[in-house]
Order: sequence, then structure tokens, then C-alpha cells
Amino acid sequence: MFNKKKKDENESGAVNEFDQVVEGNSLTKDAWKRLRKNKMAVIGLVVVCIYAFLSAFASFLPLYAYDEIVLDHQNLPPSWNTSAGDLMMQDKLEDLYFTSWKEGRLLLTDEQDAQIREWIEESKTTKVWDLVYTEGQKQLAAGNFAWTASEQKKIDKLQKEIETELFITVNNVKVDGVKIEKLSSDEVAQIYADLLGLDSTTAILEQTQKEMRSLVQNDLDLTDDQRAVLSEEDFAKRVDEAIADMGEETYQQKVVDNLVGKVDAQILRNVTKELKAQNTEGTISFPYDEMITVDGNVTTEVIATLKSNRHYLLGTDYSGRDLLARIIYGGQISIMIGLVGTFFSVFIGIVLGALAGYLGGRVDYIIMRIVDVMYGLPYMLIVIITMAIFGRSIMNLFIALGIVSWLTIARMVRGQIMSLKNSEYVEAARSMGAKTWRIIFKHMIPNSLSIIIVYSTLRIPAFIMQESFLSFLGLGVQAPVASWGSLISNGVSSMTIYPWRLIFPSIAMTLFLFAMNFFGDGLRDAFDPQSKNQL
Amino acid sequence: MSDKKEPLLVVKDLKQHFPVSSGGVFSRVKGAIRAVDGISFEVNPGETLGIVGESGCGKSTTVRSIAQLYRPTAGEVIFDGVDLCKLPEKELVKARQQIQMIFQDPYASLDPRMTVRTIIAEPIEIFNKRGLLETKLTSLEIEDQVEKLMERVGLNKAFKNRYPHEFSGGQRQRIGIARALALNPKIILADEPVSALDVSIQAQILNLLNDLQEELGLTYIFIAHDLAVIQHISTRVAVMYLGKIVELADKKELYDNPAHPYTQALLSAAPIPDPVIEKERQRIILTGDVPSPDKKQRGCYFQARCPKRMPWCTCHVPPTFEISEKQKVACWLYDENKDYSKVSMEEAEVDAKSNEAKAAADALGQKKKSK
Repeated sequence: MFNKKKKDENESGAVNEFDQVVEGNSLTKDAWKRLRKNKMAVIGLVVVCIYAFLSAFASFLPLYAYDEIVLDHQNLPPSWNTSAGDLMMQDKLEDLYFTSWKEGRLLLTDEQDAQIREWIEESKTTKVWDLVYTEGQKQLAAGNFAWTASEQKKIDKLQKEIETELFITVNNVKVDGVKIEKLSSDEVAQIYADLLGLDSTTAILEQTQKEMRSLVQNDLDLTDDQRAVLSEEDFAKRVDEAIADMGEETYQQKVVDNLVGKVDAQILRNVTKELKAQNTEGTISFPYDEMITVDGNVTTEVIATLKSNRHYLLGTDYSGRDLLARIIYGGQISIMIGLVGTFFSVFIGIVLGALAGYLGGRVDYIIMRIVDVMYGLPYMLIVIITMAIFGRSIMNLFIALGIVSWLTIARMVRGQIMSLKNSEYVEAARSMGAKTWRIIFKHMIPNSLSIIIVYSTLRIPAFIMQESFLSFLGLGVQAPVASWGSLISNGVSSMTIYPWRLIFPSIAMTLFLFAMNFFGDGLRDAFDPQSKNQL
Repeated sequence: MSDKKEPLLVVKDLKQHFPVSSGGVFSRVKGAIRAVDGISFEVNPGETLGIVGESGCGKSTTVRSIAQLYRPTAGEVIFDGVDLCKLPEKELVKARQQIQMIFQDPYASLDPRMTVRTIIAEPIEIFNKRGLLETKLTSLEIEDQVEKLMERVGLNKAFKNRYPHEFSGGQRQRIGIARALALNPKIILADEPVSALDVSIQAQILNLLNDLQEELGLTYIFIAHDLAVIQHISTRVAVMYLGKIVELADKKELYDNPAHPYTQALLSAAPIPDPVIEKERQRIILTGDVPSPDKKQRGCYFQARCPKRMPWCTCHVPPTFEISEKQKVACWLYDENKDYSKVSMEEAEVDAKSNEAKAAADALGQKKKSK
């Protein structure tokens, strides 16, 4: 309480006889001290902070894109050190060994045969695959088993694919050190023509013009019926108008963007051809990241990796997307729903609750009866109906959840305000002529804040659960966007064969919910002056 | 002394009834709690009017009605020649500067989320913002005033950044007093300011209030249920029972020579710090309970428990009789014109009925007139 600090200018006077600054110990400070003594709450807070950090800076983390579909990498299991290529190969071999066992070429002991049949009965396929794979590899090494010609062909083909399939991206295309986007459409067209080996740019420009017009035509604000009636000329007229509306500069920029896209694609094609050739010759090593000169003065950065070199720490999902990235980006959505939904409901709840509590009488009666009626309706039904009416989007999800969840907080705030309304310090404020808004905002809301904060923290997990439930029903976020709920719902469908697709999102979500609940409990204890862990 | 000065505050037939309604949107008023049921008194500048009475007799409601925390049902509160009950809220604010309150519970009357500085500065800031002070104050001047106030009530100004929960009950009450003094009021309504405190602390606070009165020429309306406290601080004392003042007298008069049977009973209940006298003393023990304030009383409000009840009392509400210049009593025993002890029940009833009929006819006539 007594801090040895030198007298501060604006704190003059708050110094005792020994020249020590006397600082107040506010209730919030007290609460914070109590919270820090609660180990579980602190752990919860740390975990929540880590989650918040991960999802806030997800785009800066070295992750694969969460919506990048790699069809070859479907349902790969999680692994720390095995690359995707090896996993694919293992997958293929398991399949082949199993077929050959069925055909009687892979000979196992009678015991193992019986075991495998039993597993098949119980549909424990993973165990079957593991067994035939290990046995098969052993026998192959010992020379007791050999592939047939067609099987060997399949294996070789896959091996070749693994060795040659590349991911190539082309960035930062520059002409004489100037970014290509900054050039005029004629210049870009010239570069494109050079790349294609054409003499004139006329054809290119005409083609681009046509494409632009058809794009604009598609964007016209017309219904299908109107489109059916309009003639060619009418369309042309409208498109001209739309382009005129756009302004010359914007239109030109769009043309340049279109051309740049074409140049990028062409460069990518050329580079891919070249890199593939180099790869076959073995004169290139991955990952490859270099500035290369494409054509005369055009330079570009090329990043290339072998597809099969990828590592999926938590495996992949049914379309070969990285599960780790999806869990982190899904967390972004889920946590945001928790926060925004809570904000919505707390905001509505405070306003209506404070009104009902302070004004009382008829206003109170009407608001509270609305609350009662809304309580009576099954809230999931309301959410589902709202989503059905306004369509499925994240924003609508926020609104739908917000609409149904302000009830409890409104009741709580009302009760709090009603009890505070008759407290002596509010009467004191009134007796000194304070206006209503001053009483509400300076006395009542600050004094209700602790329960509001506690309620909000406990509310966030509830929102995440509700969103998960909606996503589970297929009403939540839509692919390729992920949320924890949708990931879990996808994972459930293939729980026995690909358990990691269910387990990891579930762990991620459970951990967060636990942490949030412990933190909320800790906050409640901390803000309660009667709690046992007094200082 | 009361004749020479113009009274600072005049309360005339003040009534504060709280409606009891059935609830709901279309609520009907079913009845009323008559917390204060027609009281009149005057307060002179520089004096202390003590109000005493048992729990639920309407002491606190009286001062809250005077401070216009509740708008009175009927009656007048005239402060400096202005009837506060009829003022609109905007003009009332100016009067609030002159009338400040000290509350009973020092734990509940200070906002737990504000520092002492903010609490004491709040009234100044409110009036400063509204431009109701003589000169607009800067924040430094407010700071200065807060420090002066803290020193004046005996608080170390070093503690101004602390929060109320870090103080003891007595210190908190000092904060409450400093807040009441912040606007330099003329009258302070003290609602049981020492009831929640230890006896030793009570004495400190009472002495502080006495000193402040001498220095600043304050006027107090002081509520307590402790007769010793009232005796210590008051100039005059009003005794309340069931929303009525039963006796209003100078302190010496009241304590030496209580007139009303209720006052007598009340005084006899107060312990005397001398075991010998205490042992020999005869106490008046009242029977029965205080009637509920939700019914209209037909007779004297005290008659159900009065040891000196006469048949007349059961159906006639006593007016205030002045037995001396310094003592007023609401009891039929002191009517000099008639001795009611010999009136039988039947005669009293007949008289009461005729009075009631007359009153009803008068009310009807007035209604017609107003139409």
C-alpha cells in the first residue's frame, strides 16, 4: 500500500508524513490479486491468451493454406517426421498387400489369418492394414513375396508421381525492376505477346477487351428474365454505360489486372516445364526459391516444392487440406463467434436490463414479459428459423445467436440495477442533484460490471458450443471456411477409419472451453468479496 | 428564541403515502402505506431538531421527503420561502445545494468503486458542470477544496486516493460528512448518522458535528433512535409514532417533563447508567404491537397501546395542544377545554359519527364547488 515513490506533480497531496505516496487499492486491483492466486484460472488465462494469439496471427504462421485442396493427399494420418509422399506410398502398399492376401499370394500363419478375419468382422480396418503391411514388408525383404507385373507398375507410377509432382508459385513479376501491375495495358500486352512469340498485340488486346465486356455483362444488375428479353445491342449499350460509370482509370486497371493474370499463368507454364525437366535430370534440389529471368528484362521469383515433401503434423482431411491449418483458422472463426455473439448479447442485455430496472413500472413489465415469452420458445428453433430465412452466413449466425441470448443478461442486469437503485449511495447521488444518466453510468453500471464480466466470460464457451452444434447440423459456416464445430462434424463421419480427423479438433475445442471456464470461474471468485480466497 | 428568527424550514401537514398496487400493466392501487401521515414543524437557523421514535415510525421517510428524494403525497416543505414540493426538478437542483444529507450506513452510502477524492468531489463537480456555482472551478481548485474538506472532518488528506472499503466505519462516516459539506449547505439532514457506529466512535462523530455547527452555523435535522444521542446533540426534540409527531418540545422540557404517554414510555425504556437507580426505577411497559401503517386510523394513533386510554381516544384523532410555549403534545389528556375522562363510549361514538358525517358532507360540498 505504501510505495516508496517520489512525489508526483498531479498526485500532490496524496503523500503521507514520511513522503510515501499513498495509493488506493481498488476493488478491481483486489480482484486481480485474488485471480493471480488462483492457479487454475491463471493457467486458463494463459491458454486462452495462446489461443487468441494463434488465431489472431494465423496468417503470419508458417502454415499451409487452410483451403488448399490437394486431392492426392486425402486422409493422410498425422505424423511428425514422415513426409506426405511416404505416407501415400505406405497407403498404396497396404492396399496392395491386402489384395494379395485376399488372392492368397501373401501367406500368413493361420493364427494371423483368423485374427484378420475377426478384425474384418469388427470392421477394424486400420489394424488389418497395419498387420498386412508389416508382414508384407518383412516377406518382401526376405524374398518370400514378390509383386506381380501390374502391381509393380502401379507402385512405380506412384513413385514417379511422388518424385516429380511440384508446387510452383510465381511472385513479384518485375520488368526492369518495376512491378508489372504498375505498367500500362499496352506494355503488359507487349510482354505477353513476347512470351507467346506473337508479333502484334492487337489480337491480345481484342481478346482482353472481349473478356472484360463479358465480365461486366455478368455483373450487370439484371434478373434472369430481363436478360432473356434483352437483345445483343441492348446489352452492348448497357455494358458501355457500365464501363463509362466505372471511369477510365478503374477500367484500365482492371484490364491490366486481367493481362497480368495471363502473363503470370504463362510464366508459370514455362517455368513448370523447365523445372520438371531439371527435376528429371536431377539438377535441382527442393525447396527451390530463386529470382529468375524469364524473357529479356522480365524477372520473377519462383518458389517450388515437391508435393510429397509436405509434412502434415495433424494429418489431412477428406480433400487433402492440412488439418492443423484448418484447426487454427477454424479457431479464428469459433473464437470470433464467441466474442462477437457475447458482445451482441451483452450489449442488448445491458441496455434493456438497465432500462427495465431503472425505469420500472410499465416499461419494466413489457420488457420482462418479452423476455419471458422468448424464454418459452425453444431457442435453437429460433436460430434455425432465422438462419433459414436470412440465409447461411457468418454474419447471420452472429445475429441469430445474439437475438436469442440476451435474455439472461438482461434479467441479471435488471436485478442488479433494481437493487442498486435503492442503495444509499445512489440516493446520495440523487440528493446532490445528479442526473439519471450520470447515476446509471457513473454508479450503477460500474457496480454491475463485475457480474457482467464474469457472465460474459462464461458465455463465450456457450456460444462456441452453440455454433459447433449448428455447424454439426450443417447450419453453421460453409466450406471451405472451417470452424471447430464443422471440423468435428466432418470428422465424425469417418471416425473409425480416420480417427485423427475427429480427435484433434475435439481436443483443440475442449481445451479452449476448459480454459475459458476455469478463467471465468476464477474471475467470479475474484470479483466476489465474500469468497474464501481473501487476501 | 424561536419567535425572534424567521424559521429556515417549515413543514406543513406533510404526508408521504406509498401506494400498494396489484402489479401488472394495468395495475390498480389497492391501498397505501402511510409512512408519514400529516406532520408539521419548523426548524430555526442554527438549531438542531432531533427526531426520535421506534423503527418504522417514519423518521427516515420524513427527511427523505424533505430532501425530495420522494415526492410527498401532500403538504408543503417551505425552505427559504419556497415550497420545494411544487418545484420542477430543474429548479429543485438549486435548493439541493442548500439541503444535504448524511446517511445511516457508512458502508452503503459510499460508492465502492470510487476513490475518496471522487466521492467528496462529486457534488462539487455536478454543480460545477451545471454552472450552478458562483464561479466556475478548475480541477485544481476542486482538488484543493477536497483536501480542505478532508482536513476539516479529520481525515488525513494523504488517503484521498483510497477506496471506501479501506476505511473503518467512523472514517467512512467522516467521508460522508465531508461530502455533505462540499456544497456549503445551510441545513444538513442526518439520517441516523451514528447508529451503525461504536459508542466511542459515535461520540467522536457527534463532537465533530457539534464543532462544524459552531464553525459554519449549520442547521441540523438529526434522526436517532438512541435517546442519549438525541439529548446530547439536540436543541428541540420531536417524538414520532406511526407517522405522526406525538410530542415536540425543547430538549430540557421533554426529558424532564415528558407529557405524552408514549414519550413517557420511551424515556422509561432508556437505561440509566447507575445500577442503584436503574434497579429501583419503575418502567412503563407497553403491551401489543405497533399497528400496520396501511390502514387509516380512526382514533388516536397510539390508543391501542396507551396505558391512559379513554373511550374518547378510540374515535377521535387528537390535534396538537400547546401546553407551554416550548412544548406541544398530541394527546386528548391535555385539552384544557374539556375533561374527556368522564365521556362514555356511547357518547364518544355518537359524537364521532356526527363529526364524520359532517366531514363527508363538507368534502362533497367542496367537490361540487370545484365543479
